[in-house]
Amino acid sequence: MSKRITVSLSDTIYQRLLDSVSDRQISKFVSDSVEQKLTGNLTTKEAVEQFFTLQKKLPIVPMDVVQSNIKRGRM
Amino acid sequence: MSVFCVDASVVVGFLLRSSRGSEQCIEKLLPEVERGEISLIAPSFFLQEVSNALRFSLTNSADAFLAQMSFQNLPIQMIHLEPFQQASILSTAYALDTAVYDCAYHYLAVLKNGIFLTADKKYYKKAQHLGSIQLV
Repeated sequence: MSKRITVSLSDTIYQRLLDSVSDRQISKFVSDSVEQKLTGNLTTKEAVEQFFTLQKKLPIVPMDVVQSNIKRGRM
Repeated sequence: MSVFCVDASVVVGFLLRSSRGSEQCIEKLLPEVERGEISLIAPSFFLQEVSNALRFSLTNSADAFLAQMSFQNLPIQMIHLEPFQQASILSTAYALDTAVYDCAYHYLAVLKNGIFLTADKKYYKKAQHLGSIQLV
């Protein structure tokens, strides 16, 4: 499953992108770059900040539900 | 350096604001890890436990993917338990009449001279007499 999005790039970055990959590879290149930015090469400080920021965006789930869902995976 | 073995319930409990205890625990510990004052560890199956809890707790899969990616970057060292260590874990699970998984976290904490941090009251009640455990 994937989502189609529109992004804006500066002329310079766009030109560098075109110089780096073919038209057909742009989507994968951007997707890989975003994933790398989200998951890799983070300092511990950045990783912790990202984790704390994310918490505020997620829904609240009661502890009994969480524990039940953890155990659900164990059966 | 102090070592803490964190249960999946504590980390997921923080992320999904399930209990104030989990939130306070993680809010205190992660900055301490960042400063190099303590270390956080967990058994290697920890990742699957957290992922599974996210899978069944979040209806929006995009939220779950984001949470998992963010979680994977945390400075928590996953430690593989060897087959020979399983006998001791299994024995404790029978003695406490509890799951092997909980005992594996607890075993790891004892092995590393650390403290097992859990939000699971039932396990805590059964295992607190063994020491090296703290309910958050």
